[in-house]
Amino acid sequence: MGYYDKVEETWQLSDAARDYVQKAGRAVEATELWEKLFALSPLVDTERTLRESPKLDRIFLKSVYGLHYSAELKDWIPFRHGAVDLTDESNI
Amino acid sequence: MTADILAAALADHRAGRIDRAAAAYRQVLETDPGNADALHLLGLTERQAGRRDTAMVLIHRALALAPHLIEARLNLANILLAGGDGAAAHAQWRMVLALDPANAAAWYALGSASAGHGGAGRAGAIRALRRAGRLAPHRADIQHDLGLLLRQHDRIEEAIACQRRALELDPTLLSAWMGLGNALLEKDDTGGALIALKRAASLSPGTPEIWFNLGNLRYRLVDLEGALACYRRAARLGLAVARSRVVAVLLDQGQDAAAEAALATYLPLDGTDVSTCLELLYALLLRGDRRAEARSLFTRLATVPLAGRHYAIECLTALSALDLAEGADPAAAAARLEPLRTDNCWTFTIRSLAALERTRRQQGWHWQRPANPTPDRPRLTSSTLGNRGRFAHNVLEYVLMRLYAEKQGCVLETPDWVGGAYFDLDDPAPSGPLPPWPFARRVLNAALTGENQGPAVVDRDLLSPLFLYDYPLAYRDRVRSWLRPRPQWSPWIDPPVDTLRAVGRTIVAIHIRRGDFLQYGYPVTETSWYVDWLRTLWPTLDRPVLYLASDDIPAVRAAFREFRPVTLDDAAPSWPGLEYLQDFHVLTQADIVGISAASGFSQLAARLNQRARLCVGPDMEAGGIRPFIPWS
Repeated sequence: MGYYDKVEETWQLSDAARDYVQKAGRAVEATELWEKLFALSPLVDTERTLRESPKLDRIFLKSVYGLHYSAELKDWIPFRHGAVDLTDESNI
Repeated sequence: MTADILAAALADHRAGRIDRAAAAYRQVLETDPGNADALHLLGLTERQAGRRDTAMVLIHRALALAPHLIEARLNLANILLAGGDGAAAHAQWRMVLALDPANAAAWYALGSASAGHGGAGRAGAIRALRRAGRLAPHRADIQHDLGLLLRQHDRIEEAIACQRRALELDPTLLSAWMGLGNALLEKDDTGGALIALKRAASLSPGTPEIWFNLGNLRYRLVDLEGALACYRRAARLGLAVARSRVVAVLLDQGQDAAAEAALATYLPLDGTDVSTCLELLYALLLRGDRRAEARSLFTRLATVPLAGRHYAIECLTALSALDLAEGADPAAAAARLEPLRTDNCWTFTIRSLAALERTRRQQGWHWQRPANPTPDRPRLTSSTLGNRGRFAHNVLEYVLMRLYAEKQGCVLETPDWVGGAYFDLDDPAPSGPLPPWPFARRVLNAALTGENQGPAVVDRDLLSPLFLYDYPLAYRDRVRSWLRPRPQWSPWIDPPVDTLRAVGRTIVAIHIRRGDFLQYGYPVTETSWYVDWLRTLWPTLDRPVLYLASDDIPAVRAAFREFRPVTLDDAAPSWPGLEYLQDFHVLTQADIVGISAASGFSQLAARLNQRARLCVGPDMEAGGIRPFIPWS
């Protein structure tokens, strides 16, 4: 699986978070999203997230990507937390 | 020191002092040749100076030294895209997103450049633009572009919402006013469309596209005088595509002399839609009963450049159309067009009608189109049925129009068109002109579903009405009863099916569309998907035989060689000029039908097929083959 595929799955998790909030029709706490969505996802690195993001506003995936809550956008936005190697374009 | 020089150079660069900035970047590189920022920025100055190749070399060098330089990748992608290398630009955007998955610029660029004309990649492009919009919610241009794509994707309400959002963010965004007006027009909210387009015109009265769109709106309102004024204004402002609209409206108004004068003015001008103008010229001359003059004129025009190039195909089509109109030898009319390779829809229709008429005469049976038996009843017609779109496109339009006509108690009059000759239909020929009705698809569909309870629109000429949005089971038997081939064509369309039945018990017919699908960016069905699917299915079938239908058999046949595919050439003598109808008939008779992505041809065949136990098609998102239900 190339980096872009991992970007895509990160965004799909972001879409799922947005859909959850929209369906709820109210402000949803990060802890609720964690319990109902993020913690259930096989993509999520649970141990690291709990260790490095006690407020659960940064969700680390097992890939080099993750989601963070943007207060400005009021949205869960992908970020990168690990190195990527762009020398081999077949990885993309 | 280097940082200071770079900062000063960047200030010069931003201020437009390109040469000074370039000199400073070079100065940095003399002492620090591996400075990736300087290489990237020098590359930009080279691009600004029009030296694309040097620019790319420098930026590639910068990226080799610093692969994480996002701005350099974005700039490289822009250069690649401008140079026509979309695939390489895509690769750069993906690399940017691998580095920064929340890079709005990359998502926007990816979304803007991913949708092909025919819809290939559109779903992905919409997804990318939605992400760009989430990351940069203040950007009106993203909402506008997303709105345009959603409209093309038949998501009209969302498209309208996007344009409104764009206008909330930037009320001066002209293209969003136009996008909103056009989307509202498509929804048949003509009042709302008028307000939006007038707003656009008041912001920028010299923009020709606004007048063109206002012309379309006036035309929809059957305000021909108003439409003419708008189209003329657009043409005066330099919008070449408006010229043929001016001529068309003059013809609608019965101002044939003025239309002829406009044609004489426009035909030599660069950018004129000469193909459409030549069709209009043909209609004008035929209507004036000036057939000898038409024959002489089109013979001459076939050898004369118009607007910078020759239009022999259109002129030869006009000559064959004249042959058919005059009852002359259809073999000559067909022979004139058979060698031509073209996507021109009018040529397709005339060539097919000539070939069908040639067969009819060889068989010696008589066929006279009926006159309207009840001229007092309201009427509908579609003058575009024979010259906008080809076989399946027109048949699918016919289905929509006939369902609507029957619901409203109208007589449907049709021009000569391929489906009308091939299927056992007896719709009357047009008994006289009717006011135009463009952009009717949504209204017709809404009337059929009951979503629109408004008064019935009748006595109109439906211009390119397009198709049903859905094919409910309730229509199936009625549509199938209309679309049966005339029994006289059996000697040509039955033998391929008979041959297949003689060699196998299970006919698997797969259609692979290529041709203009590649050129115009339609979704392309990968042969490997069908091959993989067949490998699983094949051992389970009772004496299967594979029939392959394609507009490019040489390109696709080899992929299926392990299944020993049969093509028309193997199965039966070809019906000259009408081989696609033989393929179509096999698809309607097969036991298992595989369709091509976005192909009305095989979708229609699957819908007319009464024996198929399985219909499958490509799943473009998943990249494979999956079953589908033709009538739901």
